[in-house]
Amino acid sequence: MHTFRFPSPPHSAASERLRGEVRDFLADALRDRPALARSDSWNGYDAAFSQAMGSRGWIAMTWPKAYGGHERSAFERYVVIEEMLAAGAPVAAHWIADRQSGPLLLKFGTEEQRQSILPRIARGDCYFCIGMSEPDSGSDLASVRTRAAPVEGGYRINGTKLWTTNAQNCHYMILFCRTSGSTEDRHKGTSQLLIDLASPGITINPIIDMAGQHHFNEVVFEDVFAPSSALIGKEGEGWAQVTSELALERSGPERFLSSFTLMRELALALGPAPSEHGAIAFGRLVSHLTVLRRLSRGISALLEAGENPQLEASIVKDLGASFEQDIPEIARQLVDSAPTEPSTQAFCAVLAHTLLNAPTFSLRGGTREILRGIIARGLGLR
Amino acid sequence: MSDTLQMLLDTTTRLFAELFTPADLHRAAHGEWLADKWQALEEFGLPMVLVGGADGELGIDTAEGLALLRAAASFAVPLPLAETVFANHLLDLAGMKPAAGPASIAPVLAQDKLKLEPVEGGYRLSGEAHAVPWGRFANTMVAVAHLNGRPHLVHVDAGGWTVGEQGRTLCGFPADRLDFAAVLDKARVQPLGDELPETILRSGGAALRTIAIAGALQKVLEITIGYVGERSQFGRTLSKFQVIQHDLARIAEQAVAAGAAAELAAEAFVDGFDPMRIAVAKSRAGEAAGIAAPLAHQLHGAIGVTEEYQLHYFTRQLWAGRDEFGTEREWNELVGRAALQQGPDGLWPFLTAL
Repeated sequence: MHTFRFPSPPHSAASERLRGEVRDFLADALRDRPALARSDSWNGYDAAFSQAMGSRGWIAMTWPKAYGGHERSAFERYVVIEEMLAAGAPVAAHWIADRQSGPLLLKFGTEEQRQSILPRIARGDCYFCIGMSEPDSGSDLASVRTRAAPVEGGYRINGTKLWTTNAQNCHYMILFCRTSGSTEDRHKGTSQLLIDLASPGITINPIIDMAGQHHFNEVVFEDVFAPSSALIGKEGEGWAQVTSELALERSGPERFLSSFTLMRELALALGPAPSEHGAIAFGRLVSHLTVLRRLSRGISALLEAGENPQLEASIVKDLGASFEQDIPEIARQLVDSAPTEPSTQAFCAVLAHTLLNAPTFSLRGGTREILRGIIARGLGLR
Repeated sequence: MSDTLQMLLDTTTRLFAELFTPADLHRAAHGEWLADKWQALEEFGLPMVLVGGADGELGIDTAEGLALLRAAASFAVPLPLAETVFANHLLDLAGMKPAAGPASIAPVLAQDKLKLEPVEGGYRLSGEAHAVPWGRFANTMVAVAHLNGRPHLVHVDAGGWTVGEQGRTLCGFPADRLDFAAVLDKARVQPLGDELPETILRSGGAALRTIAIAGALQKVLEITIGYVGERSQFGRTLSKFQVIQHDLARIAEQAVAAGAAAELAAEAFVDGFDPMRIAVAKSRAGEAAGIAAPLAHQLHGAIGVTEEYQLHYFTRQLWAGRDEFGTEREWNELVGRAALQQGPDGLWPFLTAL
C-alpha cells in the first residue's frame, strides 16, 4: 500500500512578511469590491488586476528570473494565492497560466516557447485556457478525438473542445489532442500543442451556466494550422505530460476556498455572540479548513522539493470540494434567508451565487469519482 | 523524520506486535491488568519517552515521542501508556520527579474540581474525579487541584485516593471514580501559571486522543484493505468492485485528515498545549473517526462486529477516543466562538495564525 506523504508545512518568516504586504495591497485594491463579486472567487476576471499583480512580482513567483519569474519559494507563492482567494480577488485572467500552463512550458516547452510566452505571463499580460474535455470525452480524457494531423510545416487541427473555462478571454490554449492512431490507442498517440487562439479556423462559442454566467465555452477547430514549433515536449508523450500537471491543478487552496466569501458572510450574520448551535457549526468549518490548509501546504512542500504528488493532490481536492460544497448547506441552516442574487442583503446574494456554482466544485479539475479511483489505485486496489 | 525516531519506531512496533496478541487484547478488554506486558514497556523506557526531551533516556524530542504513541495506537496497546507518558511529562515540566509504574491524570471531566488546603507541613488534597482512565490500576496520579482558587499541579501516590464506582470505556478499559484524600508535602505541589495553564489535562489529553485516533484509523484502513483483497463475492474479490474502492478511498481520506490533525495536535502539545489548535485537531479527528469506522464495518460485513475478529479493537478505540477529553461539539464550540469574535475581517487572519 502506498503511504501518503504529507510533510508538515514549515514555518517561513519570509512568507509571513510577504503575507502582510499582500494584505495591505488587497485591502486597498479591493476596497470597493462587493461581496457578490468576491464570491466569484477564482472565476473573477479582471486584466488590470492581473497586471497589477504581475507588476508586484506575484505571478510566476517560483519561475527562473531568466523567464520573467522571481525565484521565490513555493511557500511564498502559496501565501500570495491563498490571500487572493480569501479576499475574493479577481484572479481568473492569469490563474491557469500561473498555476499550470507556465509550469508546463517551463518543464516541457521549447526554448523559443519559454522566451516568447513566460515573461508575458509573469507580467499579467498573457492568459491561458486548458483544452482537455470534449463533447464525448469528459472524465475519460484518453478518448479525445480532436486530431492534429501532421502536414507540411506543422499540424492541421480539427475537433471540438468543451467546458473550456475563460477561453473567450485567453490568448493561448494548451491543447491536448491526438497526433497519431485512433481513440482505441488510448494514451498512445496523444500530444500537447500551444495554440494561439487568434488562429484562423477557431470559433469560441459561449456556454452560459445556470447562474447566468459565461465561464464555459465550446472551442471549435476547423482546419486550424499550427506550426511544428507549437508542439510542447514530445509528440506522442501528451498523456505523461498532461498527468504531470494534475498535482498542480488539484492541490492548491482554490480547491477548498471557493466558498470562503460565504463563510465570511456567515461570520457576519452569526455575529460575535452566536448561538451555541451557530458556534459549533462555524467551529466545525474552521476545523476542517485548518486541516485542509495544512494538507495543501504540505503538498506545496513536496512541489518545492520537485516531487509529483498527484495522489496526495487527489485527496486534498476531494476533501476540499466536499468542504466547499458543505458551506452553503450549513449556512442556510444557520441563517434564515431566501437566497437570490439580486438581494440587497449580501448574505442572501452570496448564498445564492455559491449554491448555483457549488455543483461544479466536485466536477472541475477531476470529478469526485475520478479522484476516488486514483486514491483507490494508490491503495493498491486497482 | 530523524534516524533515531525511525529506528525507535521500527523497534517499538516490533515490540508491540510481539507483546500484544489477540488473546492479550481480549483479556484487557475484559478488565484484566497485563502486568507482564506493562513491565516490558517499562523495560523499554516507553513511559519516560517525554521526560527530559531530546536529553532524555530515549534521546528523542517531545514531537517524536508523540509519534511513538501514535504507533502504539496502531496496535491498540491495552495499557495506560499514553496516560503515564503524559503524567510523567507534566511532572517533568513542573520540575518534579517522574514516578515508576502506571500513572494517570485527574480530573479528566470539565466539571470535576479537586481542592487543596494548607495543613501542617504541606497540603490536604480532597475531592472526587470521575471516569479517570485506568484509575484502579494506577500507582501515581498527576492532578490539577485548586488552592484558594489558584490551580496547582499535584503528584499523588497510590493510597492518596480510594477507588469508588468502577466504570469502563467503550474499549472495556477502566474509567473509575477516585475519591482523593491525601496530605502531600510541599514538594509535590507546584503552582500552574502562564506556561502551564490550568486546562493542561483537558487539552493535553485531547491532543493525545487525537494522536491515538490517527494511529487507530491508519490501522483500520490497513485491516480493511486486507479484508477486501481476500474476500470474494459474485466471483470477484471485493476490492475489484468500484463501489468498494470508493468507500476505501473515503476511509483513506479521513485517515489522512486525522493524520494531519494529529500532527497539528502534537505541535500544539509541544507549544504549551495551545488549546485552540488542539481543539481544531481533536474535533477534526473525532469527525474522521465517526465517518471512517462505520465504513470499515460496512465493508467487512458481519465478521467485523465479532469479538473474534480484530477490527473492533480499533473501531472501539476510535469511538472512545473521540468522546474522551471533549467531543467535537465541545471543541468546535470553543473554536467557533473564538473565530466569530474576530468579526468577518478578522476571520482569515485568525485562520492563518492557527
